[in-house]
Amino acid sequence: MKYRPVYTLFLSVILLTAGLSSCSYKHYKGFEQVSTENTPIPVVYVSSFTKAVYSTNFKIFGQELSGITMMKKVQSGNTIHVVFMSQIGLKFFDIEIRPEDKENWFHVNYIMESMNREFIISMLKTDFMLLFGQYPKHSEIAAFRQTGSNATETTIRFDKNVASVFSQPTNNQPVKIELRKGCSVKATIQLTPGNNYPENVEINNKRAGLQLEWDEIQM
Amino acid sequence: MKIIKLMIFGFAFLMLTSFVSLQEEGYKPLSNPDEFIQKVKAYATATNTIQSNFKQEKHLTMLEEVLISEGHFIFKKKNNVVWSYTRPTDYTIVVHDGKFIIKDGDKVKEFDIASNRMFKEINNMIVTSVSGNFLDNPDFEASYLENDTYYLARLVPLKPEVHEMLSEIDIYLDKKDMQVAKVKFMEPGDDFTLITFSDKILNGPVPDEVFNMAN
Repeated sequence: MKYRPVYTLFLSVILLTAGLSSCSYKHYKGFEQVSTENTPIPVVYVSSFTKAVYSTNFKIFGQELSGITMMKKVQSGNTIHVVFMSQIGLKFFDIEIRPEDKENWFHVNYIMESMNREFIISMLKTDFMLLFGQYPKHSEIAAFRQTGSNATETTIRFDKNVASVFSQPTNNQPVKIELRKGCSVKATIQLTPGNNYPENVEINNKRAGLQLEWDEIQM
Repeated sequence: MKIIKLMIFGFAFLMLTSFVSLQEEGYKPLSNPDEFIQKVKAYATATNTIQSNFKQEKHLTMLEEVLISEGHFIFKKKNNVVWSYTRPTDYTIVVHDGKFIIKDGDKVKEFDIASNRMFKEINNMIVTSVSGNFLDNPDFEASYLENDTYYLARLVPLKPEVHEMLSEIDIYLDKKDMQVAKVKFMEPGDDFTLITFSDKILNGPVPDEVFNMAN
């Protein structure tokens, strides 16, 4: 009976190790690692992107807002503005992405008082980091290619997070982005590629049940 | 000294441009405020229904973009409104019987106005703007101007939650018939929404069924 505490401790260490290793995400099955030199990180909104207008549905904590999102690159500052407003024109948020300012790439120009909560802004920042590829400088990048189809998965590791960008074989346009921390998927983005940028974007953020859906419209 | 001179010049330039902007449209304080108030009261009393087409321009100044929407508008006393957008997408907003109903394509969602502060304020602004019910409204500080064509009621929201969204609401009333010709929602900063009404029908029959989204 004396060995029981040692045995219990040993078992716990084994289970913990097994648990940690099973939660340590590597890449999808059936994908082989390839050199990142020939496989750049797939970008959702490429440098030639100028503007898009989306019909928008935004859900958080069971509350729902609908309207229009205008996304436009302002050439003078080389920044992208994402403005979400109601059909009547009242603005919900105006967020500016500054790709050249790595420290302050996410800038909130305006957010409606009822949405001005730290966790909402933090979630939007995470989602926009994935959409606009604004990963931290110290991220480690690896690329994997599916045998036979040439579909790729690019993993970006930073601060115990792993972002996986899946892209289609024909033109390297992203179709899905997942963000994991340990075993849990924190955010998923489904993309329907268009000519130059996605026609449809569906963002699911597990925390607070945040869902953001964009469908392109012609104005 | 150079900085002070520059500041004085800048301030003078700003004053001049805002003065010129107001003068361009020829607006000046009302020559007969009592007459205006009587006319607005008479219009508000006599107006039971309004049906109209509308064109909405959303001006995003920083982005140098104007988003244009179009549709049909219905108002029925006392607090029933339909905004039916046909461009760029089919989207309808109904305010009826204490409810705020949105039809987006095939999806219909219903919200209780009283339980949602934002919807309540939006509804209040819509009804105030289009029904001429802005006189003695404690939620706004009002000033009145005129030019040859329009009376301009300039409302500054006093409630902080509204003022945070809108710095000013300009309601343009046609001098010929006192009907609301256009409404401009100014946001903090330079962005604004201009809604222009056309093909108006005043006091035509509007059955209650039009506010029922199930139909």
